[in-house]
Amino acid sequence: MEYTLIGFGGLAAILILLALRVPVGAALGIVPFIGIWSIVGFTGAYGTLKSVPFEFAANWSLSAIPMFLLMGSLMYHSGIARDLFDVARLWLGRLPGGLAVSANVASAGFGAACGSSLAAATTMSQICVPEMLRRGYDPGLATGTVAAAGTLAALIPPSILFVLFGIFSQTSISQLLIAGIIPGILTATAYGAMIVVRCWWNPALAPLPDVTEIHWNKKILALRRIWPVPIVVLGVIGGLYSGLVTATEAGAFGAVLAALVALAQRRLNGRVLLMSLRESVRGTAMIFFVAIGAIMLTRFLSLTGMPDIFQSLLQGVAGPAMFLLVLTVVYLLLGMILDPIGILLLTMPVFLPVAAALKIDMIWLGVIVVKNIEIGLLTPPVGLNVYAVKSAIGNSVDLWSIFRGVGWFLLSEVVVMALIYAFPQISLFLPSLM
Amino acid sequence: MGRALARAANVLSHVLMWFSGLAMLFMALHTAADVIAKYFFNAPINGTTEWIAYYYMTAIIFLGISQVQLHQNHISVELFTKWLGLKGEKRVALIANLIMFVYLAIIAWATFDEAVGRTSVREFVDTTGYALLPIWPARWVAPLGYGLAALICLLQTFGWMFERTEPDALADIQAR
Repeated sequence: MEYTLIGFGGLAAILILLALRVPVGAALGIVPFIGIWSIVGFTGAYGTLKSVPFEFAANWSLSAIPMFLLMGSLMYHSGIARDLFDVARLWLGRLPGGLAVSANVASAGFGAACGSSLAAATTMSQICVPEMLRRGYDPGLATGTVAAAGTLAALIPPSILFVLFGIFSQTSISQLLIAGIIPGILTATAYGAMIVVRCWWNPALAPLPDVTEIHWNKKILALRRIWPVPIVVLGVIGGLYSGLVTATEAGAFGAVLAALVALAQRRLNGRVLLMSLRESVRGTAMIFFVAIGAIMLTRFLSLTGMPDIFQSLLQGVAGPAMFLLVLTVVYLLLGMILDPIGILLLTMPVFLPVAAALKIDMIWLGVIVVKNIEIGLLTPPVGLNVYAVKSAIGNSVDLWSIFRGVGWFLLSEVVVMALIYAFPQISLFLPSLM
Repeated sequence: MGRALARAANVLSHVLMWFSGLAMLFMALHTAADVIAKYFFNAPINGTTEWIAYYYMTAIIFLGISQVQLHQNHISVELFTKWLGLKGEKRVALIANLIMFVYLAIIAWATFDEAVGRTSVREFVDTTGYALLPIWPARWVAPLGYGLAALICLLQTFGWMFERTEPDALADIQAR
């Protein structure tokens, strides 16, 4: 019982340090260090700190993270996002809210090349929002679309969040990545349907373009511009699904493919390669600084015996359903103050042992966790995707309009989440075929 | 003195970052070559897994850390300190920086200690092929990265070193 108190005290100390703006990685590292010290003595705590960083870093499976980041950077610099949007417009531009639907589909496509929703939201807002505003689209609709559709990148492989979840939950990373596909498509479809219905109901939101029907030849020819996307999708998702390659190999292969594609399109030069490497190195170091702290927290909490307490508490009340409800609420709250990687790494040491004891399917849980975290990116006051869109487009649209536009997407998320909770098969069907 | 140290730390941090970038490039090529060799020539490259885990990964992760500190790109919660006003915010930043320094210094010392121990026994691993791969040199990367980050953090705390906000939002954004 005394150890449990130390455990709760530790969690409280972490939250206080976070509020004082101590970087998440340091708060997650130093509090468990002191906590372990108080339970097993200094030698034990020092020993943990000595061994954890190297043993965690020297990990073959985790190398998928730098590779996914590199792949995303290279694809970003190759300018694929603009091509995707242009082609989607040719095909979908005449639907009600056609540009918004196109932005939504292009974001999903970009998500197959990039594993981070903030990167997707930033990229897509630079390309799609000015065009929609020029055509007289409602600013809330235009910005809300790119903010919300950006979250698709974290569901559709590659995805940094799924790799980290797989490591901490000791689940197959390949299966997790594949599990995200159908929920990702489902979300994109729900978004698209909502846009069409809204714009059909109220045409003032999205004036129809005055262009005539585009000839089929032109539409099909335009597909040539996005040839890199199917290649990367086949190389990465196909390789993962068939089990031919591991997530790491898929990431490295994707990065090399992305480089070759950019080379073929004459968009890769020394400067772009150096920029991509620099971005990916910094991104990786940033993520692992926090992840090493999360390992310290896991070790500390298991010493306190807190996972057992949580588990008996939750089992006593209502079991898995109650647990998932608590989890959803916690993610919604944390989504208000912290970014996805921080939330994921802060909560996994607490939630995963409980989920394991409740025998919740880890792959399904992974999808639920990632979805919840991504929804947190859209909710005020710190909806990071909303801020990403805002900083990408500057002063043309105010923050409140973006949040207002995102509101409609959150409504469709309610439907999507209800389906994902009610029908685990949505998440588990594809991995079960592997 | 402070300024000169700051300049040296800045240069070293960038040098380490480019080593880290080199490791990333090699990792992508090495892994891709291994996949091709495995499936097309039925001859995987021995020791790929070990090279990636012990050399490339550690280099990428630890050599990049001083850059994150230099540019203050750490993931943190900014919501609550916004209401403190400029003076309060500065004080809180000072405390946060000191805590950060303490953590970085302890972890740098601990990993240094570990590196000394592993070097004295010439640590190696048995690779999947046949060779014994020495991994003790890789142990030194962690104390180097954490140590430099700790130094930069201290210099920043004393106001001898300021982050230059580069238009490099993508690294920041992609990692989140």
